[in-house]
Amino acid sequence: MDWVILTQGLTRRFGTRVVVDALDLRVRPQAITGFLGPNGAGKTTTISLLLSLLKGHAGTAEVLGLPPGHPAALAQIGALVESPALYDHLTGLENMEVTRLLRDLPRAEVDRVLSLVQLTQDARRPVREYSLGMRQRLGVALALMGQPRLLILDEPTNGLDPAGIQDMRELIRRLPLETGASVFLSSHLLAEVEQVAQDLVVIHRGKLRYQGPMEQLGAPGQAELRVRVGDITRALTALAQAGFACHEADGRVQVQVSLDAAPRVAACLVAGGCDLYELSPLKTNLEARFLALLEAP
Amino acid sequence: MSAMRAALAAEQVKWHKSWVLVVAVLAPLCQLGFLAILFGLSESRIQPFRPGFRFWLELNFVTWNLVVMPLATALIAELSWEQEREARAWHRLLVQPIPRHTHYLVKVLGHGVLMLGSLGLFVLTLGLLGGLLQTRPQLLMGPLPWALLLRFTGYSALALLGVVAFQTWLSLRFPGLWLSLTAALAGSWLTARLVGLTALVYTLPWGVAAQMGIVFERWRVLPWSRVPLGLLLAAALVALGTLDFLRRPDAQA
Repeated sequence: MDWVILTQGLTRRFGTRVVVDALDLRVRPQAITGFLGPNGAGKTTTISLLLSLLKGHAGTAEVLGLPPGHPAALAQIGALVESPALYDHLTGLENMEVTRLLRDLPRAEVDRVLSLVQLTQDARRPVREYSLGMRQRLGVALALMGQPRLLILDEPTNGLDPAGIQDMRELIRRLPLETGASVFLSSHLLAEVEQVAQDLVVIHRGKLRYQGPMEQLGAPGQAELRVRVGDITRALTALAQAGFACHEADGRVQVQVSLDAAPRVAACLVAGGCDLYELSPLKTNLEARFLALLEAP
Repeated sequence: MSAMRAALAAEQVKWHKSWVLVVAVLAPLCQLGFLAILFGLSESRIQPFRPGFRFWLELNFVTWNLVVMPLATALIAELSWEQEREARAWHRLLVQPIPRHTHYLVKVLGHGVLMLGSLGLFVLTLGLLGGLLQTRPQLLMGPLPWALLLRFTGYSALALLGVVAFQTWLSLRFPGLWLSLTAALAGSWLTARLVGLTALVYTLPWGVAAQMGIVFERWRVLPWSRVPLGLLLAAALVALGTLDFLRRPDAQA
C-alpha cells in the first residue's frame, strides 16, 4: 500500500529529553486517522517533523512518498499546526490572499474555502477582532486551500463552541468522501477523535502505543460487536454453537470477535433462526482501553 | 523565479496597514520636514554655502545616508521579522510549497524594495521642498542641479543595499528593536569616523553610504569605483543570512 505517512524509527530529542521515540507510523490514504495522546505526548513534535518544521535526530519519514518538506509534497498538504498562525493586522481575506499567492491558486479558491468554514461574512474584518473560534476556522480554511491530498490538523476544534465543533466534525468527516483527501487529525481528546476517525494512532511519552482500526484499540485483532436480536437466548445458543465467545448485556448480545468476522456472525444468527435488528461495533469501553494503553509501562 | 514572484506578492500583502510601510513613508518625510524648517529659519547661515539648492541636496543626502536610511532600514527589518514572529508565521509559511531559501531572499528583497521606495519618495519630496525654498530669495537657492540630484540618488540607492542585507540578517539572528537601532546608529557612526582613514571601511555594511559625508567638501568626488566592493559585501551578507536561515529551521518553528 502507498502510505500517505510512513515513518521508521523517527526520533527527536530536546536536549536530553526524547520527545519522539523511534516512532513507526503508517497512515493509509483516503481515511481519517486520529492521532491521539495526552498533552505532552509528542503529537505536535511529530507533526512538526512530518512537515519539516523540525529536523529529526534519527529515523526516516515519508509524506506522500516524499521526504518531509519537499515542495512537491507540501503542494499537496494542508496543515494547521497548534493554534492558527495569522497576521492580526490583516483581514481574514488578506490572510487568505497571502496563502493563495504562495500556493499559486485562483481567486475563486478563497471564496470556496471561506464559505466552507462559514467565514464569508467576516472575511473583511481584521483578524485581531476575531473570536478564538473564528481564528480556528480561518486556520482550517487556510489548510483547506487548494484541496490538499493530505490534511494535517493539530487540535482543530480548540476554542470552538459546541455548534462549531459539530460543524468542524462534519467538515472533516466529508473530506475523504468529497475530495479523496486523507486526514491526519491530532487531538488529546478520545471523544473528539472517535466520532470521526476510522483509524487511530496513540502515542504516549513519544512512543507508539497503538496503531490500527478504531474498533480494535487496545485489543489487536479483537473487538466487540453488539447485536440486537428478537430472541436473545436463541442467539446466544446459535453463536456459542458456532464457536463465538458471547454474553448478554443490557438486553443485547455482545460478541468477542474480530471485526472482519461480522458477516459470519450475521450469517450464523440468521441461520439459527434469529431476527437480526442491529449489528454494530461496541465502543463503550474504548476510553477504558485508551487509558489502559497510557498506563501500560 | 515564479516562487520568488509569488512570495514577493504575498510579502506585499503583509505590508498593508503595517508599521513597515509607515516607517518607509514617514522616515524621508520627517527628515525633509525637519531640515526644511531648519533651512528656512537659518537664512544667514545658509548663504555662505550657496548655491542654496546644492547645499539643500548635500545636507539632505548626507543626513539620509548616515542617519535616516540606516535607522529606517533597521526599523523595517526588525518590524518585518517581528511581524512573522508575532504571528508564529513560520508554522504557516514553511509548509507552503516554496523553497525554504526563497522566504529569506524575499525578506531581503522586500526590505530593499521598501527602502528604494522610501528613497524615491525622499527624492521626489526633496525636489518639491527645494522648489518651495527657491521662492525665498535670501536663501540664494539657484536652479535645481539635476545632474547632482541624479548622481546622489543613484549612489544612495546602491549604498543602501549593504545596509539592507546586514540589518535583515541581524534582525533574524538577534531579534530586538533596540539592538537593531543601536547597531545601525553605532555602525554608521563608526564607519563615518573611519572614512578617509582606512580602505577597510568598505568591509562594513555602511561603508558605501558613509562616503556620502565627503560631499560637503565640494572638490571631492564620490568613490563610485568602490561601489562594486559594497555590492559584493551585500551579496555575501545575503548568502550568509540565507545559510543561517536554512540551518536553523528549529528556531523558526
